[in-house]
Amino acid sequence: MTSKKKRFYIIFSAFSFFCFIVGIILIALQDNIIFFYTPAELLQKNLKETEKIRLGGLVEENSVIRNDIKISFIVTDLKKSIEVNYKGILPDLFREGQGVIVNGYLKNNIFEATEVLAKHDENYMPPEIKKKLENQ
Amino acid sequence: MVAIIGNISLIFATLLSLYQFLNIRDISKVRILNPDRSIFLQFFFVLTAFFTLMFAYVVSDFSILNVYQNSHTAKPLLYKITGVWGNHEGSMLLWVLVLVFFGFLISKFDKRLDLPYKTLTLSFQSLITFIFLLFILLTSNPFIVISPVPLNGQGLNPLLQDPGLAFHPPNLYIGYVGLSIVFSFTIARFYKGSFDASWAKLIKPWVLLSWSFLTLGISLGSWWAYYELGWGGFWFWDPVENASLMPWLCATALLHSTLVLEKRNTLKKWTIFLAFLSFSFSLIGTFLVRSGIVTSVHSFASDPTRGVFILMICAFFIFSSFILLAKKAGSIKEEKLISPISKEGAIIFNNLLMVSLLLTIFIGTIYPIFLEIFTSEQISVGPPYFNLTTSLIMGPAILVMSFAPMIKWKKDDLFGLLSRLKTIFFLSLLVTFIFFYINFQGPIIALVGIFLAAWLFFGTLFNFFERTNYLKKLKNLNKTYLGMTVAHLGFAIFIAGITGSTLWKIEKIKTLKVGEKVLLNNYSLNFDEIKKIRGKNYIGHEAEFNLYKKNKFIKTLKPQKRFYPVQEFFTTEAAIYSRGISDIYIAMSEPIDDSWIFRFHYSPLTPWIWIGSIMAFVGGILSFSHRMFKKK
Repeated sequence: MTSKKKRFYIIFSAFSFFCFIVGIILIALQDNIIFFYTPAELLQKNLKETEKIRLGGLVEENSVIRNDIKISFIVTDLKKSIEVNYKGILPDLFREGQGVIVNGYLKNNIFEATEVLAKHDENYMPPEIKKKLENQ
Repeated sequence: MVAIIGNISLIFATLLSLYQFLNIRDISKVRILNPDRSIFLQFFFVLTAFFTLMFAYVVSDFSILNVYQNSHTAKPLLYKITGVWGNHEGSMLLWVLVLVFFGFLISKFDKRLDLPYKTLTLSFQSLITFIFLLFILLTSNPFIVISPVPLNGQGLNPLLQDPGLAFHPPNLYIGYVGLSIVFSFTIARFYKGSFDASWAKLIKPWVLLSWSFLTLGISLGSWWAYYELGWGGFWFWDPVENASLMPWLCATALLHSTLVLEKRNTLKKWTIFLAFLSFSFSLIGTFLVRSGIVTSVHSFASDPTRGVFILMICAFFIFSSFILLAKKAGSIKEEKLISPISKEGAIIFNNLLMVSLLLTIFIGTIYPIFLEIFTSEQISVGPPYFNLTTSLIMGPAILVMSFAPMIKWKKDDLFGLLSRLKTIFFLSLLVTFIFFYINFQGPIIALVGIFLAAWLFFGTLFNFFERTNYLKKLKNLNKTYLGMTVAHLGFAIFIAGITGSTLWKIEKIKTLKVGEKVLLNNYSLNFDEIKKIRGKNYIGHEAEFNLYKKNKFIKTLKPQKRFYPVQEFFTTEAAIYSRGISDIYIAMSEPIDDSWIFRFHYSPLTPWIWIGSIMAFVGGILSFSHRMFKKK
């Protein structure tokens, strides 16, 4: 093999490898990005029921209703509120009046949560929510 | 008094490190404060500051703001001590302690270095120390006093009140910060000596040491999360976890590329690039954790000035080192590579994949940050992204990793190689079928994971048998080779562990009254008792479960729910029964009337995650000790 040909092969294989990796990144990103909304923002959007979203806000006082491991509560950004249904165990620091983040799907204006995210610090408020609440 | 000793020690250490860096050109002159003494004194003063802070914690000296904010008299002694690094300021001090400790190690124990090169290396290490000490003094001083002295402290986040805090951060920091010494070694080489095989031999043990402790630190953290957070998971793709994984991937690539440099005198520029990249990522990790830019378990209370300061430190080291490399790249001569079917070919393949994985994880981690800055749209990149990209990239890496150690340097014969792999292939297939037969009722893709693990395991073992002539020549076995074998076997076991834990886990969430039971795989768990408990600084409930397998009693499991009144904080203490190949896991949640909610997991192969990681650590340390202390 001449050195010119060899160089061509090296550049060609490096380039295709690079394209392969970028391709993987783009495809994987496309399907797995979750947008973050507050209740007011979410109700303005017209989203498909199949799109996974992240909802953040405060747990409204006296809104938590339990039925065995089924739980429902209201998440509010002090403008709009959304009812959230969840089946499972709540994180240790889930409390009424405190910040919360839930992942899931919006169906008929009720949020079906697949995950309720833990916060790990008693003074902690998700920065996303803090910023959005401050902006109001 | 404490504040005075602490501050003076820190200032002395800062001045010394600056002095040592400024005398960088002055290597020939005999000085009273020679480099070895100066580095020892830096170490001594930082250590003094560190123990002074620890003393303040132990005696609960609340005149120190840092102690007031993070401690409490009712806290057990262990958590008073480990609480020193359970916060930003204290952990930064630990960071710098490890930084000077590495300088001290080099000056005291690395007898292979000649004096001018050692002096230069220590000078660059002192520059890093100086900058970080400045950071501590200006933005994160742990010795700030408050008056009037409060009666009691605010306490430590209860999640951190666990023996895990004693081990996870120190080990992780040895790994993170150890990469700084590799960085100093590399920069110094531009001014003294050349990038040849002997340089690769010099840095290799230090890369191995950092890599081993990074491995240990990350897996300890993951184990801690597993039993403490009550979710039964071991990895969450949290940005801060990624921040520790990125330097690990980089160090893994570096570990292998130094081998090529050592044996074949090539990949010099690439090795330098990786050495810089590894330290850059350990700085970027520090930035991600401490700037408050990401939401995470690990975030410290954030302060924008700190973030900006660390960002400037990052930019300074990253730009200056890469510009240096770009400027000098022309003068570094490489040997030609001969064939892709060779050991160096396989190692280059490993390096490309490690760096690609690094890139995908980096993009997944910082993309949300950038998007928010530019469009103010807030997103998160979910675990499926990371799981998908990681498995796609690690798959081929493991395929090659299995037989890479068998390939000859320079050039090997592809068909001869493939025919040697037949046995390994069929053995791995057999293991996969056995797992299929046992039937964990998981997705088929899990069998791919098992096949890859078996493939790597048998490949490594097969090569070990060949090398030792079927264990007849164990005596003159090269310890570095033994270390590699143990680490690769550990990685195979680790892959099996991840596969079982993520794809075959059975989860049940049940509400139970005392006397009721739950069935989990072949096990039955009887909820026999619930009682109140009281610890030194918490109260709570403890449930008693008796675990039976086919009516035979095995063990009593006691999960707890604790409440820490100082912080008004609940924690979950999971109970785990591990029998080496699977875990039974119980986490306790809240009461409803007279019953309690529990989460049960049956997770097969999960203990292998940590067994495998520890093997990788032991393998790394074996190679390190051999390379560092062997007699010439």
